[in-house]
Amino acid sequence: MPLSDAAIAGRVLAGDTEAFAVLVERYYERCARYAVRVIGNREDAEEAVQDTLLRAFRSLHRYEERGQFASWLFRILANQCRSTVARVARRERKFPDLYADDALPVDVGPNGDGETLALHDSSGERLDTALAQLPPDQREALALRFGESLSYEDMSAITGAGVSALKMRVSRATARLRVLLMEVHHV
Amino acid sequence: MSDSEHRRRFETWLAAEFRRPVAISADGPERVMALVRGSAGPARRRRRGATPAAAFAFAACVLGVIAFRMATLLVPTSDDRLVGADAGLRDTISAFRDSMEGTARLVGVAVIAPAAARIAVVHDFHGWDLRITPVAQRDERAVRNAAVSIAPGLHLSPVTRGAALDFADTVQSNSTADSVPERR
Repeated sequence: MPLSDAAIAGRVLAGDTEAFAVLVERYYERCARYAVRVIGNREDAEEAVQDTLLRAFRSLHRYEERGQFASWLFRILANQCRSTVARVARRERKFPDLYADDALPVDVGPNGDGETLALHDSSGERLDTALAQLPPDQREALALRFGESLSYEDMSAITGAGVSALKMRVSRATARLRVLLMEVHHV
Repeated sequence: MSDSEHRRRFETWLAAEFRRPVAISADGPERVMALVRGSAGPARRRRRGATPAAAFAFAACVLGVIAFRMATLLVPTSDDRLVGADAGLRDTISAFRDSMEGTARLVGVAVIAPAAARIAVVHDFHGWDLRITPVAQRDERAVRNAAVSIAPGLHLSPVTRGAALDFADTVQSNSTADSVPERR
């Protein structure tokens, strides 16, 4: 029977540093999936995940066993991703030419208002491109709600935002994504 | 298809997309462990013996003792003509503050001595120099304030008896606890 997260944390705190590898294996991919959706590029997302796990290791003594390790870890991850999003935005403002070619091709919709994306790549890239049009707090809310299947109460504990504010973010973000993906989604 | 059903199907699709694995570096977890092995390691758990409230109460008691003792350090400078010195210096402490400054303890003292022309703090950590820490008058209520930094260790503590000094007592100050010996 696999050890619980709390039991592994206890072993790490007792001096067994290598036991932390189990937690890293258990959560790395899940954290990366969240970070990619929120940050928008894989290099920065992986860096954020590595920083998150290292920070979690260093502050493991603050983790209370009665709480969910995943929730605690995602609180750290959410903060790290916010910092990374802000850093990436500063970087792109400072060097706009460097990132101009990285944008995925976006066709202006039939109304010519740029609201509708007509994309011709895979669904994952379509979603990434559409997500990039949303504000970071909405991406964060969507990733927690749909990617992690969290309740609004759990999302509130992670993000620090109120439940009603999170519901509003998810609702607005979903509606916006529907518009952005309408031409290619066909559901 | 109704709009609510359309929205529900869209959300189902969205959840599937969000849960789709992302391409990550195969050595990502190993890179994390390399960083972990090179880091200082998690701090130890906080001792559960003392609650924050108990620690605060203990600190308040310690500071109270120190403040009381600091009252005995206030003496008039040599050229003062302190009228009713005993009465002026017995009602000394009206406020104090205390904070850790490295390993030294910063102690604020306040004295109300409306009849005194000048007041100073003197002690062994000053070399008994009356000019180092004058207690200046800060407001019109005749409250005078000063702050002194006391290094860890034992210090001779004078006791004011009028304008005379009695060097019989000691005050101990260190970074973790303070104890004041009983007056001999």
